[in-house]
Amino acid sequence: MSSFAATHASYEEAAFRPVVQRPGLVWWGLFTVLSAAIVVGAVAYAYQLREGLNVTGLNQRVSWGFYISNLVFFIGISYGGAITSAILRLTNAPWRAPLTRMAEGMAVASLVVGAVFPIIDLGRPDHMYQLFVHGQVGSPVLWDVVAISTYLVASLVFIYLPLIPDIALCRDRLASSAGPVRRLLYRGLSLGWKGTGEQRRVLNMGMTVLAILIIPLAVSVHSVLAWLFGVTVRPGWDSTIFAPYFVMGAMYSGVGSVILVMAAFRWAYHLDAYITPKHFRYLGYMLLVLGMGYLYFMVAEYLTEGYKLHQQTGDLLELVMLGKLASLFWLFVIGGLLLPIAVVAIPATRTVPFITLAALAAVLGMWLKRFLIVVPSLAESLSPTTKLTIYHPTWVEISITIAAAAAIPWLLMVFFRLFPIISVFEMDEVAEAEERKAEELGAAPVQAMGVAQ
Amino acid sequence: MDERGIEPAARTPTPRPVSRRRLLGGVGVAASAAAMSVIPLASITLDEQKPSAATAATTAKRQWAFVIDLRRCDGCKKCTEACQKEHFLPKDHEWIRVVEIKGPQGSYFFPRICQQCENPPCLKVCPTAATFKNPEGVILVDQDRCIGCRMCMAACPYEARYFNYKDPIKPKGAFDNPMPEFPVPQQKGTVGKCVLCVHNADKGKLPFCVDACVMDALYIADLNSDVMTNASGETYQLSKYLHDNDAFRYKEELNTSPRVWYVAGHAQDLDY
Amino acid sequence: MKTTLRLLLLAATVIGLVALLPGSAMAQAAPKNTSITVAPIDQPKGKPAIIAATLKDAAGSPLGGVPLRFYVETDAFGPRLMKVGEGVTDVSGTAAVAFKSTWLGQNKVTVVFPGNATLAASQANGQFNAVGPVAVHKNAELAIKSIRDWAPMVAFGLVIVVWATLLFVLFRTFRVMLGGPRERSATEPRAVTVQNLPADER
Repeated sequence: MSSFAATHASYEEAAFRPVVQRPGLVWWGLFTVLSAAIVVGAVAYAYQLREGLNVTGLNQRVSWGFYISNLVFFIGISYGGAITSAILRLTNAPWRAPLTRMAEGMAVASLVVGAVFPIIDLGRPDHMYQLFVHGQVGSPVLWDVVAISTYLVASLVFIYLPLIPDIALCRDRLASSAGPVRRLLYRGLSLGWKGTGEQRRVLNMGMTVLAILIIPLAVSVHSVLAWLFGVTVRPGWDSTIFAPYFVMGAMYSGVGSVILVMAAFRWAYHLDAYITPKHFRYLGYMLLVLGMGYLYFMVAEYLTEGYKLHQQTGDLLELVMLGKLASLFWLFVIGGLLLPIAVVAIPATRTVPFITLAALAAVLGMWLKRFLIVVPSLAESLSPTTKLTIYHPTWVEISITIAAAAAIPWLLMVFFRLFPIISVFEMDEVAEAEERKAEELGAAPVQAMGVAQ
Repeated sequence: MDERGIEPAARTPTPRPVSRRRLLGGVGVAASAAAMSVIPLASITLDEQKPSAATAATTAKRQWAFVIDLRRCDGCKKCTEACQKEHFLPKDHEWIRVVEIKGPQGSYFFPRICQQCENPPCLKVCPTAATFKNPEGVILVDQDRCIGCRMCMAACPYEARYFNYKDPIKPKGAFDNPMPEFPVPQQKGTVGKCVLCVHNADKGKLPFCVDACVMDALYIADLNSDVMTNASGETYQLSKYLHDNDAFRYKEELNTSPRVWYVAGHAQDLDY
Repeated sequence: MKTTLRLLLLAATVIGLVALLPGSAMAQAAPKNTSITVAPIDQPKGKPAIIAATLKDAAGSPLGGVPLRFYVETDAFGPRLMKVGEGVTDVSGTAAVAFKSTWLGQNKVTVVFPGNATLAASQANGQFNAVGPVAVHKNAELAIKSIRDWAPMVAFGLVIVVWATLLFVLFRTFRVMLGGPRERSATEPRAVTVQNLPADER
């Protein structure tokens, strides 16, 4: 038995841990809590469907609130998947292999959750078919519909392709232990994978194409989301930097979310052998760089606006930086941006728990920032004819938001009960490449020495 | 078309049903196919392009506009009351909103209505063409088509759009056929706005706000015949009046080309 | 209806006020009757029409230094008199305003003398023929219109390319996975490890 076979057996075992292990008390406890939160959110939405948007805290001036903030936030964190998985695949970073599955799973889960929010936000969801009948190419709302649906499908394909061999593995390994429904699911989804040369070639080609495709798609989705705001003349939104600003923020919160998911499953399934401090450190560096990037964009934005200080921009900055929302704003700047940067920058705190905390702060902070982008620009009057209007979210909006936040871990827990948490196929790929490299290295020095002599 | 050979006889009022169903007729054909399509692309249509600006200007008899004489407005809000009463609107829907603005030289009253922009930001962002410009240049909302995304409210620089959060007030009687030109009752979950009330212009009726203005500060105008008139019948040649009185447009620098002109009185800060 | 009435009788009201008020100027010293003659001057092409009117007293002598109001009839909002200007009569009793018509064809003119303490009000009609060209209102056009027209098409073309790529990848994957040539018999172990593959396929 080669060393490759031994390592393969061990990571295959790890990958299947969530699938084979009977869920413990913690799993069931968490599952119940999350399910309850989702049910409360569903009830709240049903109530909103019956009563209309009147049950929200939205008003004639602040017509977008929690829902649009959530849309931007959740689609933002789905970036983590695209970034860690696709970029690392294209740059051929071997350490990516154990975390691509989690990253992609998180991406799809948060994307599904985020994509629901435009619908929740609609005043007339029953008129939504009009988008398909009378869609207007000039409308950023339609751009969003097209971009999000394209990105969603691409993300599903992106996570599905490397899943095919792993599902085949499920099909073969769990043939006796799994119930008939699961067996049928595995058989159907594995598409008759046998690992032939041609199948592997096609799969590799598809994964490379998707990895290339998913990056511009992810960028386009958040740019389009930014243009939802950027095409208006409102102070704070009327900005040319908005698309890259949003993309940067999305990547920042996305990498943070990947760290959180990674930490949670590492702890829950004892994956320490595969998800090592090195992974946290590397993703921490990414968090650092992206946080610095976001800080830079933010400074660029506020400096130019705060220097000229048009009347309405002045009012807006006053409201956000010194007025009613100042506490939230500075909480984000210090807690959500400077703190994570500092934690990763200082070697002493560059440990798994601290990086996880930094990631949590970054993710929560970015939610605050999204809220501070969406609401103040609407609350602040655009003309002398209106006054500053304050928005107080109601329990409906809050419970739907909590339900959305609960839905992501819920989806991941269910997903990883069904499918391996580590991409065995990609682990194989990397391990083979390493082995090949080791063989070459083992042979090469002799040759080299021979030449040198 | 520089010449408009409209004979006097042709200028006599004829009821002109402004049907956009007709304008959008071809689109409906694609609808069923589009609904089945997985890719939303298949259904992308260019409704906005159909009533092209050029043809609208030459074929429509009139091009509506509005003039507000700030020298006369005393802030009585009779216009708002009349508008809300006639359109069965709740109190927070001020299609015409009168605000006291305190400027450096004292305060004045400023009635803000939908500016009926010729480059309307609200129309550009509407994903379903529920917001449309009728051939006479009035920006209307087809509430049967509005999905309630409120993008237009975010886009309108004049904050002239209102969302029906609550159940609309239902008029007693025979109003059961709301149409974009006279959207009574409003539809819950959709956006409503000033419709300029020109649906009865051919019967010689002025918009409700104009009719209600006891200060004669509001004028309804037609850019084609170049006429403006108010509740007590003061009628002027529009272009001459605007020129003679140094009329200005609200937020001119946004290039929305509003069809509402203001005549400044005292205390106005002309830098809008 | 009320407003229309008021409009139609705009001039008449002024006259009526003077005429009907008992004990006013009229009672103290009967104002002299006046009459107006409107000169029907057709509008030269591309130029404003000059509407001139002459005010004379009953004896036919011109009255100078009094204001005349000039109206043109419009039916844009039902029949209304549109004020086109005011002029003060000169020594020959004539006042004139320039008016650039926005209609082609016949324009009806009404000239009103509102009257004063010594002169009774009067009014007269006239008409002139307007010839083109007349400016028609044009909607404001946005800049870079051609680019704005085709730019969305390019963007949506790219979206179609993306969808085509996605579908192609899926199609190829499904075809190879499901319908590809069977290289192995069913009895062979199907667990996918590299060890199960022949060396050339590793």
